[in-house]
This record gives sequence, structure tokens and C-alpha cells, in this order.
Amino acid sequence: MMPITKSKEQTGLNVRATLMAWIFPGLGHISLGQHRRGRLICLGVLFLVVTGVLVGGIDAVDHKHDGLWFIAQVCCGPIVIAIDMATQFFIVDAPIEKRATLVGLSHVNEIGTLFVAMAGLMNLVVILDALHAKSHVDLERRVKDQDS
Amino acid sequence: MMVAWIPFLEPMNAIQPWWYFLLIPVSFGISVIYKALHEDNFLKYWRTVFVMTTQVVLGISLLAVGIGLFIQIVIPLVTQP
Repeated sequence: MMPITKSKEQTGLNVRATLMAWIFPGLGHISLGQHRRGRLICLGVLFLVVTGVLVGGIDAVDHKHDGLWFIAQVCCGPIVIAIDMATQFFIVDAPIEKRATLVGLSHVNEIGTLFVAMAGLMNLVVILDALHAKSHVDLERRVKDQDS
Repeated sequence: MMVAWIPFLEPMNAIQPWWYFLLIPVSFGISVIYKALHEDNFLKYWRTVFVMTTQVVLGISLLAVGIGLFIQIVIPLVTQP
């Protein structure tokens, strides 16, 4: 009888790395031994998310009013979910006078939303790459292998 | 007004007239992630990132100029009675 769970060698899929890549950008590749690649992915995704929230405010992530954008944004993982929770806490239930200063309008809101959505879509590519990536193939590892 | 602006909580409304310059950071961020996935040799990593950023910014700028010229010049010429 075949075992229910297949090993990584049998399936060729890094399920654990894929999950880690969603939990925190770059963590999937770091867990596979590709430390430099993982750090650079983390830098890129966080740069886009931080710049997006800086430009558009926390209102750039709002699953109630920008549901379709949120589908792309949530690929960044719990970071975006935390920003969305902050939006619901600080903005959605706030009185109208306070909301007027916190909600982004026109290009600022669009660009902020776009930045975080691009971070999410790029992290989706990273997650798919982590699913099939081979362990320990970045430059640091190759140099160590050649030295030994 | 930037004086009362609370970063990350409030939107950066002061950048509203220059929103199109934000093409540069978004291209840079995408290039950092894309090249991190595709580069086998990280020795020339940052050089390739800046080359890709420049290519994306120039490409989109040229598209914008082309579409602008088409709308401002070509369409009025075609639609003249």
C-alpha cells in the first residue's frame, strides 16, 4: 500500500517552503538555503509594501471597499492582513470628520493600492518559485561547495 | 499640507501633483524581486536591477508620450471634417 504522504524527493514540491514564503516574503527561499536570494526578495516586497502604505496610508489595503485588489495584496501574507485590520480599526469605524483625513483620494489612493498589489503579485511569483526551487543553489552555497 | 501629516496612517496628499514619478520606485521594487529570482550570479545583481528599472521607466514613458501624441495630434487630424 502506498504511503499517504510523499517525500519531497518523490513529489519535487517544497510545500513547507511555499507556506513560509507566504508567511513572510523571502522566508521560503531562506529555508531552502538560498539566503541571499531570500533576503533580496524580502527587501523588494517590503520596499513595495512600505512605499505603498507611505503613499496611500493604511487605507491602501481595505478588503471591504477594494475586495478585488485585496485578493492580489493578500499574497504578501500576514503583513497585509495586519494592515487591513489596522484599516478596519482606525478608519472604517471612525467618525466621518476623522475618516476624511485618513482616506486617500484620487492618484494617491490608486498608487498606494497598486504598490501593495504589485508586491502581492510578485510574492505570488516568489511562492510559485519556492514550490519548485532546489535547495542550496545560490551563489554563497556554490562558492562554499567549490572551496571544499 | 505636510505639517499635520502622520506617515503611514494618513495618505501622502502632497505627492498628488507628481504621482507619475512613483513609476520609478514601483519599477525598482519589481526589478529587485524579479532579478532576485532570475539571477544565478549575484556579483552583477544591482547593476542588472538598475538596468531593468531604467528599461521599464523608459519603456512606459515612451508609451505615454506615444499615446499622448496619438490623442493630441493624430486623432484631431483624422476627425477633422
